[in-house]
Amino acid sequence: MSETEIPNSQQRLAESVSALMDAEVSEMELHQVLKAVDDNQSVDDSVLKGQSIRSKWSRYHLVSDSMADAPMAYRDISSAVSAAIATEDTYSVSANSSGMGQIGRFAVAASVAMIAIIGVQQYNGSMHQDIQSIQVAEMQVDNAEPNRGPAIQFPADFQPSVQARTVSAGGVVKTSRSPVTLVQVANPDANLARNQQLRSLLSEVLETHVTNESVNGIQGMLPLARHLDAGEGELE
Amino acid sequence: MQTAADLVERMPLLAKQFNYSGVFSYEAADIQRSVRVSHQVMDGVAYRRISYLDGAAKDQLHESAANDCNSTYVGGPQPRDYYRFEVLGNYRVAGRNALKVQVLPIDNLRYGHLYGIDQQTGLMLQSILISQSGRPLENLKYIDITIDKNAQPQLASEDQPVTQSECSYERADSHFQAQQWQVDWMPPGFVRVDENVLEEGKVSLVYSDGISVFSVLIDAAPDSKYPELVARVGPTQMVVTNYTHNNTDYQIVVSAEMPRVTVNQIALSVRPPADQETLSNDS
Amino acid sequence: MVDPSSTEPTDHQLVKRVQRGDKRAFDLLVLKYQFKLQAIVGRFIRDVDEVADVTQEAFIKAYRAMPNFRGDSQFYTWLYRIAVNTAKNYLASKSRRPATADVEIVDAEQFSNNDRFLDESTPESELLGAELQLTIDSALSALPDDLRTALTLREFDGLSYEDIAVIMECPVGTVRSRIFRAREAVDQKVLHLLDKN
Repeated sequence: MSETEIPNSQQRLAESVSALMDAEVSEMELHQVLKAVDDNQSVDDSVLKGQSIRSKWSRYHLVSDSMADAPMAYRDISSAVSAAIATEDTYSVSANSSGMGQIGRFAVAASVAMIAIIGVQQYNGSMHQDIQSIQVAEMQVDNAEPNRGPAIQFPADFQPSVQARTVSAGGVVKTSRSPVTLVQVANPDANLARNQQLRSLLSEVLETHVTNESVNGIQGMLPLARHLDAGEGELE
Repeated sequence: MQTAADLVERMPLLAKQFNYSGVFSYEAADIQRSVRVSHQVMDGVAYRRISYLDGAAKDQLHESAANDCNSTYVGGPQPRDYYRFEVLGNYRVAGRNALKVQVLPIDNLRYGHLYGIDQQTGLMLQSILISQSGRPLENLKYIDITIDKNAQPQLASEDQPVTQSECSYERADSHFQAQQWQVDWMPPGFVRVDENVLEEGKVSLVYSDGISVFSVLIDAAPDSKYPELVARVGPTQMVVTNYTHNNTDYQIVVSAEMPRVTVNQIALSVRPPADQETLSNDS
Repeated sequence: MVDPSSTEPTDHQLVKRVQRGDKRAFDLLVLKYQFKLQAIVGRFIRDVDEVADVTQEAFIKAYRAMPNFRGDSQFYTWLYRIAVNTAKNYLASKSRRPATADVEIVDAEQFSNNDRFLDESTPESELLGAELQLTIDSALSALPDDLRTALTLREFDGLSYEDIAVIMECPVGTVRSRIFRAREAVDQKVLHLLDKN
């Protein structure tokens, strides 16, 4: 099949969109794409069906996400967001945000929105993989992080080495392509954290667990520090 | 010359040879407390006393047999296969000289640790839990500790590994044991190291990979029924699920200081053995 | 040793632009993530209009917090967390009960790939999703080998153009062109599907 298509500006732009998806564009190209975003702003009635650069960008990602089995809800709120952002501050400062912070210092900012947690990444094996794999929602995340409150830090004299970041040796579990529903709560609105009986159960479970650890683990009595008061009104 | 792995693996054995008491601090992202403990071995029984210095939690006293079944034994956990061990240097903690040992898992399914190990006795004086991205999740540290070699003779020679059959963790028991629950999936390296019947209809299973521990609690008659949920207290994840088998609604809770998705996956794989077979009988 | 389960920071070019004042770049980020984010919010909130509102709020919060995003983690992760927190706060404010500090009860927001809530409230979503999968699968298998290989190496294996060039033994420019042509071919079929509905 012949693939020599006559390049025109729209085609070139579309190719830039494709490359931008992969973060493989020059600053100049990025500039062109962004300019096109501006130019096409009012053309679409539907971002998914339109012919503009915005539509192409949106649809390319739709395909990419579908290939990755990402759950999606197909409602376009981009115009509403764009309109809202238009009234927000325009940033002019170049933020000092290049690359990773100092390796070896693990201090984390306190506010909710700034906790840097690695989130759900859905990993798909290559199409050539024959192995049946379970698609667990991989969380390379520190999901022990609370929603609020300051994170703890390594003491100055007791820090891990530079490599204290797990390098995967392929230990993530995989199963078949149709993901199994994992634990799901029937009523997400219930504020169970205050429920006395549940706290009582969790308290008892935790106590059994830390006792098990103090008997069977290697940390001696240290795990016994973990507990949950079943009653109300306790203070930490 | 002992390797970092040797040092870590010896710790449970050493803990049985010493009587100690002290105060340690506990710090997690939303928790801070101090705990006073003492550990005394007398007549083959290990007495552990815990006193929470903050809050209203009451003192506790635990007793258990001071046997060797937590040291490395044939058929037991082999943490060297699943973790990388490294000595980082010396430092002082609780007024004592200690070695810093870093233990990192080779996969994303569990967490790593930084241990502070007493140079004189080999006991653990500090433990920091490290997430997959290198962030500290929990810091346990003795502030003050007094250690004495206990008067009991050594329970086993360090050169002779104990064999599994000498550890009585297979407890023949009530009819509930006939329904021996199994955990179909767990990260590689975990082995069942303990099993208890807590009371009629309630079974506790304990698994360890030599560094991390998870507990499975199975209750045939739970006080309350809950929807399946995940709870977190500090770094401990607890996943509550339900399982119906032979007209009984079991409540299963898996607890661990491990990534939530791991604990979740374990919880979902807990099964009574009858369900694992393809039965061709008529019922 | 490369961690195969992490994705490369493909958003850094756009993020930098936003931080330097380009709102159009943020628009592109919204377009990229809006469907996924609404699916995530949809695990907490049933009503689709409320989902749209809360997701919109999450995007606005993200925009406001952009100067603080330091780029040492993935942008999507950070955005994801903001969306989850916004959803939870929304629920909390609806029920007006304060959360307790020492126990966190979470639901399966990170786990369930089986969008029960979404399925129940938007059957069209599910149908579209399934049709899309089929269309994409058939479009992919209809591609010439070199185009399909280039695209798969990029989408499934997350390889850079340079790495793909090495594997396919061709110049980087050819890789770029092949990936683009593959995407275009699939896009034509997807457009056709969407137009039908």
